[in-house]
Amino acid sequence: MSDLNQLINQARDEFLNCSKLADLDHIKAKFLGKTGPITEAMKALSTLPVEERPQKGAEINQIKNQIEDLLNARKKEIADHELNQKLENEKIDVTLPSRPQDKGSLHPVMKTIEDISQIFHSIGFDVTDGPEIEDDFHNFTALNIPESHPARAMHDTFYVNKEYVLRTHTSPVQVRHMEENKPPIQIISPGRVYRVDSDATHSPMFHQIEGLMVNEEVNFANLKGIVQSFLQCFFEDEKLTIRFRPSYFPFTEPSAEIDMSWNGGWLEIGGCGMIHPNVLKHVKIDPSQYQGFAFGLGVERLTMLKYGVNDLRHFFNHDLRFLEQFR
Amino acid sequence: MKFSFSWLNSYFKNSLDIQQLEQDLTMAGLEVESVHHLAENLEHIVVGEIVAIEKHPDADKLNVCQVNVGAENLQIVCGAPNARSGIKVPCALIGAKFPEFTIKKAKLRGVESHGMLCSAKELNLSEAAEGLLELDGKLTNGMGIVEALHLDDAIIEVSLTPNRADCLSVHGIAREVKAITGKTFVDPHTQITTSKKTSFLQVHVENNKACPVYSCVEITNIDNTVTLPAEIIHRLECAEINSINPIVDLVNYVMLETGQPMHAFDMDKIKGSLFIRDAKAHEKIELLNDQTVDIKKDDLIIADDDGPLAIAGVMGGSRSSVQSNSTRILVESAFFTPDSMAGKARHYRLNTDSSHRFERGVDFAVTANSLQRLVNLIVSTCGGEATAIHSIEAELPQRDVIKLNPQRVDKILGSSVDLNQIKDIFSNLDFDFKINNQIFEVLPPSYRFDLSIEEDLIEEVIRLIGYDNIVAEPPKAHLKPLTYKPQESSVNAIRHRIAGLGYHELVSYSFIDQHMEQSLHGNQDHIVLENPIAENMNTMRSHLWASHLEALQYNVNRNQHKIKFFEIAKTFIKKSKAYHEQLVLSGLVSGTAIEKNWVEKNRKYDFFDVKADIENLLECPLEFQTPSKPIQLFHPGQQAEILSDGKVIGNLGMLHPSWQKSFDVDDSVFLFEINLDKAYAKPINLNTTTLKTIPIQRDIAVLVDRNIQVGEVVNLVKNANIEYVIDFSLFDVYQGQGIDEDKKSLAFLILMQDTYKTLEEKDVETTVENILNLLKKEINAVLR
Repeated sequence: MSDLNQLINQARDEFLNCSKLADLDHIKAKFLGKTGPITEAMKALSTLPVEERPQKGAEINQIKNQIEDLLNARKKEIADHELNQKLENEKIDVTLPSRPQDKGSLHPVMKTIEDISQIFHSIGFDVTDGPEIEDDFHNFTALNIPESHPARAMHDTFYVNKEYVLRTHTSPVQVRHMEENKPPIQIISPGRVYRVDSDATHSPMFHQIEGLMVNEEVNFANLKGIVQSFLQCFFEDEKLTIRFRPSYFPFTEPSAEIDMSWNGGWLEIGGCGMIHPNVLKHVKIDPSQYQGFAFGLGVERLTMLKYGVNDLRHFFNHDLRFLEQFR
Repeated sequence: MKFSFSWLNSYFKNSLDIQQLEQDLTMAGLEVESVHHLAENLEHIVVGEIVAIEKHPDADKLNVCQVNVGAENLQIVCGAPNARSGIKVPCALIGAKFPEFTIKKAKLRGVESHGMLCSAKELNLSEAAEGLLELDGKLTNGMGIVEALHLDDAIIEVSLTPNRADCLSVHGIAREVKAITGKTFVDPHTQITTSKKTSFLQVHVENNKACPVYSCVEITNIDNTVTLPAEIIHRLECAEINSINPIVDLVNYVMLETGQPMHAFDMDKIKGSLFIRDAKAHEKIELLNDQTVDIKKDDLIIADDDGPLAIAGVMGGSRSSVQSNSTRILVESAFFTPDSMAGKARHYRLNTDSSHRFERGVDFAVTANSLQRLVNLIVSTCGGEATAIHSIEAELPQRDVIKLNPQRVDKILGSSVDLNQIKDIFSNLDFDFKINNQIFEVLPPSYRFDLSIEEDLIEEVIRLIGYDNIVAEPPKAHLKPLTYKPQESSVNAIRHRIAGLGYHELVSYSFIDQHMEQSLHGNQDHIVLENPIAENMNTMRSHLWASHLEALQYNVNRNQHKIKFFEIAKTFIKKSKAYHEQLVLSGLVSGTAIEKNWVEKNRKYDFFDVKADIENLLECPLEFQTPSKPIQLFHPGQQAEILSDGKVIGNLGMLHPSWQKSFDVDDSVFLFEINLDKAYAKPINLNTTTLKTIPIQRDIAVLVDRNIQVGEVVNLVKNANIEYVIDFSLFDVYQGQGIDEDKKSLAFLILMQDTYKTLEEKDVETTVENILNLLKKEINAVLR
């Protein structure tokens, strides 16, 4: 029996000396295999007197179990070690650069247009569009700016010919929309507009957003409400306030310039007013039954304020070093 | 309009506060653009007289002056070259403040100095420092410089909207200030003296529709070389009106005061009678600005027997201009209607103070009064004898009564306005009104050309109550979902997707160089602007490519080598006589696709990079084919039409190498354009039966003629509807060693599946056989 007990110590030593799973199987056969000492001892049981067999058998089994436990423990040790080894080997430098990829950007002015459209969309304003080569009627006459009106001179219009111009504002979209839709109307219309003007603060092409709301009761106080809450939302500033200042546009009466509080002062960001009855008459909406407001905002100005862009020309000179900052 | 603050102040008993005025005017719609204070920090500067002067003992360029400042003589060291005994100059006393220093008792090279003598620059009166400012010798020593030089004033610049012509004068602004503030207003020039002498000149008004009032006065024996009173010179300077000669200056002065443009003719140059008539064909005039113009037929002119003397209301002619030696003059004051003046000056590319006022509307009630005011001023300064006013009047504009329902004020403004408040406002505005059954009936004043409907009066009410007093309130709405518009959401989705694919969004001008439109875009029937901002921006573009190539060049010149641009914008074409606009997505790709890196091989962009991007971009399935009509801008062998649902929706191609050379870029350039009006996703035919059977896969390789396109082969198989075939796609192309020169090897993957059972080997074999037979028959393909 002491031989067999000796066997446990011997197995423990051999298992410990082995460091590969495959080798361990060979060692296992040596102790527990068909010709191994355990099997031999089992076979030898039959030579013992019958009354000794159960006890002796149990002892052998116990030793066998102990050896198996030692084997499994060692197996696990080796597997764990091999896994750790593998993990260690597979370690990477996560600070290496990523695979080459193309990183694009969205133009800040277009981002602003999208943001504004979304804000107004969220309160039920449809987004509409109109032609950029516009006829004289829609750009001027229908907006209560007859031929030779001094306000035409203020517009610095690009002419395509006598009848067609590059639209000088997004307001003609109001007219086109009202020609085809009955009140209630609530739309905004972003887009490109053109004026013969080019210097550090003027671009011959720029963007406006036109807003229009017409129904039986919408009023000047509502106009103020909409413009103020829009700007608060756009600039994510609940404390932002606006100031309306009397002004003149032929297509609105009363008319106002919109000033916004900014760095302790006021900044002009657009114009607005109650739609002039003549404009409503032009599109066959009865001004005694319906009323409405319109506003126009300069997109570049809003964009410059929002992103802190200090020069209008950055928007149009296509410099990747500027553009790639807007993700 | 610019004017002197002190002039405006002279209309009020109690002096105005300039800051409050600025605020009041701006918030009433007369935007104050700037206030320029003429004198700031000039308190301790007085008139000083140099009574004695000697050289500084220790400095060559310095003098030691004894300066009398009234009560005492001060010793002042001064380096100005024009310092000399007897002149009067501004003298800064101890304590005077300058932007960078304060005057203190000092020692200059050992000599005590008790002040500083000043140049015009040091008083902030001029940009240049040309020695000491020499003052009028008649000024009293010790008098404050502010008083001596009329510097206690400010120039106010008001930006007027075109509807407020009534404020194009100091009188008009004063009237407005009175309406805003309710302050007592005194017209300083109510005393008008008239003459009994009659005129000799015959005046014929032939078009009294355009000129309902024409008044004139003859003045003889004037001296047009006198010096005008300092106050008038100062006020003209504040308004930035150049001095010409006393008569012309006074004409301008009274225009600034009253808003009435007037004109003076040299009587000795007028031949025969005066005619206010329409121009005949081919009449010419040399104007005061030396420009000779052809007068448009039927434009109203002032003429004599010899022809035109002035373009009425715009500018006088040089033939009858008043010179310093003129002694007999005719002064005219008229009302030319806004209708007759509309656009007139612009036709001659002119914008004069006169035309600016007439086309916006001049008060027709004060034509003669303003003239009399001018005549009195001329006689009192230049001498001479004036005749009585000779006036020819026809029918003046009639003002209609405007009704205002106070309830409508509330409805438009969304705020309740008290009836008495409206009354007060209308009284302050000098409106002639009465109230009938709660309705206001208002007769607007002759100088308010901007009031004709109820809304105009509502604006007057709210303007004077203050826009700030309307409380912002969100509108009430009837909630209703908006109609879903796929285009709109699609455009933004595309923008985000393409930016995700590494493209940078551009915004470029819609106008480009005409030559680019012709040669690069190949558009001969292009749209040219009549008045472009620059010659190279004179044509509306039919593609965005020229703009994007310019952007490429700009960035390549700045050492950028990885370029992917896109833009969504309108393009413009002419069809018969109409203009068509199409919304396109356009892109440009050039340069390094994979830069040098540690993982994979670096390389440049190629055609298939861009093709993949386009396929990823749109929601609709696309096909690419070689175009039947190639685009000249592109490489003839590397361009494709993009199709969706069988229709061409765009193009993709490599920039032709000769164009690439002309843009001076080293790398190949790929351009594409997709017409977004045509590229919206149609509803998808979803395959909703997910098959449980297992698809079988087979590869085949065939030899075909080199010029056969893969797309052709794939379509051939797909369109043949061979049983069990669910996909047929290329995975390899090979040409070269081991294959005839005119052949290429194509390897395809065939995917086969049946609805009900898993395919057996013989079904698979038959299917592959069918495909091979088809390819053999149609394109002579041979199994490799």
